[in-house]
Amino acid sequence: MFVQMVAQSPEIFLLMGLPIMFLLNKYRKNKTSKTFYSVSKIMLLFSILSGIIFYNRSGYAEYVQNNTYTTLYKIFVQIFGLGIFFLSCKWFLNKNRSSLQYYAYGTGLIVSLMILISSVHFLVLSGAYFISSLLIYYLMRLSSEDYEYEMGNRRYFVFMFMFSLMILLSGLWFYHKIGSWEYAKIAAYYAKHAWNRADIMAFAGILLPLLYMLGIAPLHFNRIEQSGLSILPVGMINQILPVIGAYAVILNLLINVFSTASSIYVPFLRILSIVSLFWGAISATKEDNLRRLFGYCCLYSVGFIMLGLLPFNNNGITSSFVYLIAYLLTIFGVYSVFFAFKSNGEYVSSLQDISGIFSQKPYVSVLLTAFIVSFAGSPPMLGFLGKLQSVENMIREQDYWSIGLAMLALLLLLNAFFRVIRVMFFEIRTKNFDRTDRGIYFCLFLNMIFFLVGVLNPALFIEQFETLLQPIMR
Amino acid sequence: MLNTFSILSLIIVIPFLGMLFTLFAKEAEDGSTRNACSVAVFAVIANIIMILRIFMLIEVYQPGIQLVETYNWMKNPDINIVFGVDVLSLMLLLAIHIAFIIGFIGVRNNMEHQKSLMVWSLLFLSMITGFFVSADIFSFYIFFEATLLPLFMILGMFGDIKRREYINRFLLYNMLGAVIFFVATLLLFNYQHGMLELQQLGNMKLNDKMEYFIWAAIFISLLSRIPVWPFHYWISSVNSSIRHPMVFLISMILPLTGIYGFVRFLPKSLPSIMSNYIFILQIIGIVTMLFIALIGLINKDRQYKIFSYITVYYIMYLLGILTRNEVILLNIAFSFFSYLIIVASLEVFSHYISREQSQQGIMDDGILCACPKISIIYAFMTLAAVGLPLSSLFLNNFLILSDLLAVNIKMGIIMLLSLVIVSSSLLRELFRLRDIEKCGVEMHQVEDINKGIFIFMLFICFILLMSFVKPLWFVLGA
Repeated sequence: MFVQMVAQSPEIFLLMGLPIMFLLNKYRKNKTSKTFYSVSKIMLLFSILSGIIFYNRSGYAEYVQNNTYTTLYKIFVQIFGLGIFFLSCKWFLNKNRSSLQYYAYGTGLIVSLMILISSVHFLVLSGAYFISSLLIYYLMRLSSEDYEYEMGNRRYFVFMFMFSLMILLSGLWFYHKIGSWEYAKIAAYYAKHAWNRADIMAFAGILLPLLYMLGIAPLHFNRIEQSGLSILPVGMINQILPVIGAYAVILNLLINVFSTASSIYVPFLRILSIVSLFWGAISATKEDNLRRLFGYCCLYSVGFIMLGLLPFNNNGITSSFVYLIAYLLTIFGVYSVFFAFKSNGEYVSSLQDISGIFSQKPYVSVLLTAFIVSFAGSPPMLGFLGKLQSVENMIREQDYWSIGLAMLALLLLLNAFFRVIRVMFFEIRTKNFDRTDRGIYFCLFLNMIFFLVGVLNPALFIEQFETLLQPIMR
Repeated sequence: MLNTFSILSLIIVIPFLGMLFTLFAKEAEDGSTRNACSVAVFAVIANIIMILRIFMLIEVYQPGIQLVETYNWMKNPDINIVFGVDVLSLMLLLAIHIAFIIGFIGVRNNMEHQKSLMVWSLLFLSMITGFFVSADIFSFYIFFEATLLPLFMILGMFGDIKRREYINRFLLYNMLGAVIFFVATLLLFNYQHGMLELQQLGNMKLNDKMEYFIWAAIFISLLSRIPVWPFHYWISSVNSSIRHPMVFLISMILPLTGIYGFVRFLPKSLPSIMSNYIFILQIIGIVTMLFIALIGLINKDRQYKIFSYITVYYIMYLLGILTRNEVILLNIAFSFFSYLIIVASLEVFSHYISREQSQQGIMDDGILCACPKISIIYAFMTLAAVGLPLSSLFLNNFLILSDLLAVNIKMGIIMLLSLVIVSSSLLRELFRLRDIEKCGVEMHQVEDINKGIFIFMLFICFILLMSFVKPLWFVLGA
C-alpha cells in the first residue's frame, strides 16, 4: 500500500493541496489570492519533483501506468499549470477577488489530466475525462454575468456530459466484447480480429470526446466562444491544459491501442485537420476579440499538429511534438501579454482597445509580435521549427496536397496577424495603459529564453525529447 | 557546433546587438534620441570595419564562396547552417552599410519615433547581412523570410503610406513568395537526401516533374521581390508613396534579395526546362523596364523618377545575371556597389529638398541654387547615376550592356533605350532644380547641409570616384 502511494505521490501531493486550501480559507484571517497560489505552487513543485523521481513507477498498474512518455506530458501539464497559476495570481490580486475556487478547481483539473494521461483502463479514462470536463465547467462558471456566456456554459455542460457518457458506453462495449477495460488486452484483441461496424462506432465514441477536448474543428465551438468571454485566468487554462492532456491521450490510444484501425481514422483526422486549418485561419481574420482571435490561431495550430502527426511514424510523432511545444510556449506567451493589456484596472480584450499600444508599451508589443511570428511559423521563431518538421515529414510521405492546403491556410491566417500588428504599431493610441507587473515581464522573459534556446539549439528540444517519447515510437 | 565564433557570424550579430542596445538606450529628458542614434551609427560603422577586414581575408578574384563557417543546427532532419562570402556578397554588404549611414543622415533631424526606426532598421540590417552571408539553402530561406517582419514594421510605422492596404498586400505577396520558397527548399532538401550548399545548386540533377515545380517555385518566389510585371504593381504602389528616406532606402534593398537569389540559384549549365522560363522572364523584364522608364519620364513626382531609375537598373542587372557569365557577375558586383550608394544619396537629398520646399512653402524650381553644398552633392550623384565616369557604374555598366547586346541585340537596344529615358528623366529633374532663371528662392530661405555632413558626403563622392578608378581600391593587393 505504502509503495503504491509513493508511486502515485505526484497526484497525491496535489490532492493534499485541496484540504489545505479549504482549511486555510476557514481558519486563516489574512488571506489573499497569493495564499492559495502559494499552496498550489508548493504542491505542484513537490508533485513535479516526485513525478521526475518516480517517472516509471505505477502504484496501480492495472489502471494507470507511468513511463517516460506519460511523465513528460504530465510534467508539461504541471509546469504550464504553475505558470498559469502564477499569472492568475496577479489577476486575482488586481481584481481583489477570492481565488480559492479557481486554485482548487485548477489543481483538481491538473490531477485529473495527469490521471487521464497515464490511464491504461477505459473506466479510469472515462472517469478522468468526466472529472476534467466537469472541473473545466466549474472554472468557466467563475464568471457568469453575461447571458451569452451563461448559455455557452450550459451548452458546454450538455456536450461534456454527452461525451463523457460516450466514452463510458464505448468502454462498456469493449468490455462486453473482450471482457476487459484494459488498453493492452483490447489492443491484443484487435491485433488478431477485424473491426466491425459496432467496434468502429465504439472507437469513435472514444475518439470524438478526446478530439472535443483537444479542440479540433468542428468540435472547437465551445472553447473559442467561451475563452473570449471568460475571465482571463480561465481562458488561459482552457487554451493550454486540456490540449496537452487530450493530445497525449489521443496519441497514446491511436498508436498503442487502436493502431489496427489506422485506415479508418487517418482519413477522418486528415479531413478534421484541414477543416481546422481553414476554419481557424478564416475565422481569425474576421475576429475582433483578441482572445477569440488567438483561439482561432490555436485551432489552426491544432490542425497543423494533427496533420503533421498523421502518418503516425516516428518523424510524424516528433514533428507534431515539436509543433505542440512551440504552440504551448507561444500561446502561453500570448496570454502572458494579455495580462499586461490593462487599462484603468480592466483587462482589455478587444482589438481596437490595443490600438497604438506600442507607443506606451513597446516591449510588450514587440514580444506579442514575436509570438505572432512564431504562430505564423516564420523564422527565426520557435514556430518555424514546428512548421519545418511537420512539412518536411509531409514531403517525406509525399503528402503534397496537405502541404499546399496548409500553406494556403497560413497565408489566410497572416491577414489576421497583419491586422493585430497594424493595430498595435501603426494606429493612434486611444487608451492609457496601466503599469505592467514585473512578474509578467519575468514570465515573458523566461518564455523568450525558451524560444531562443529552442531556435539556436533545436537539438536540445528534439533529440532530448525524442528519447522520452520512446514508449510511443514505432 | 563546429564553430562557435567567427567573423561572418559576427557581422550578423553586431547589428543585432546594436538593435538591443538601441532598444534599451535611454532617451534624454528633452525627448531627444541622440543615444539611440549614436548606438545605431556605431553598430553600422563597426560592421563596415568588419566587412573591410573580411575583404582582407579573402582572395577577391577567386570565384566561389570563401571563409565558410558551418554550424550543425539540427540532427533530424540533418540541417547545417553554412555561412560564406564571395566578392559579390561583400560588395553588396559594404554598399548597404554605407547606404544605411547615408540614410541615418537623412533622418537625423526627424525626431518622431526615431528610436523605433533605429531598432527596426538595425534588425533589418542584421537579417539582410545574414541573407548575404548565407551559403546554404536553409539559411538563405531563413533570412529571406526574416527580412520581411522588420520591413513590414518600418513601412507601416514610418512609411507614411496613406493606404494601409498597400502595405498588407505588399507583405502578403512577399510572404506568398517566402512560403513557396520554403516548400521548394524542403523539396530540394528531401530530394538530395541532405544538406544543400548554394554552390552545389548549379550542378544539381532533378527529375522532370520535380525540376518543373522547383524551378517555377524558386523563380516565382525570387521574382516576387523584384518590381517586374505583375509584381511591379504593388511594389511601385508602396515605394512611390513612401515619404521617408530611410524607409524608401530599406524597401528598395528588398528587390536586391530577389536579384541576389538569381545569382545564387541559377545553374551553370541550364536545364532545358529553365530556358523557357528565362525567355519569358527576359520578355517580361524588358517590357517592364521600358514601361516604368516611360512612366518615370512623364511623372512629375521626383520620388517616382528615382523609383523608376532604381527599377530599370534592377531589371538590367537581372537580365545580366540571366546570361550566367562569371565576368558579368563581377561587373554587376562592382556596379551594384556604386548604384546602391548613389540611390541612397539621391533619395536622402531629394527628400531634404522636398522637406525644405514644403516647410518654406516655396517652389522647388531652381532650389539648388540657394543651397550650394546640396547642389554639388546632388549634381554629382545624378551625373554618376546616369553613367558619367564618376563611379564604377560607368565602366561596369558599359561592359554589362555590351555583353547583353551581344547576347540579344533587340533586347539590348530596348534596354539601352530604357536607360536613356531614365537618365534623361533624372537629368531633366536636376536641370529643373538648378534652373537659375526660374529660381524664386533667396539664399537664406533654404537651409543648406552643415559642414560635417558636406565633408562626409564629399568623402562618399571620393569613394565613388575611386571605385571608378579601381573597384576594389580599398583592398590591399587586390
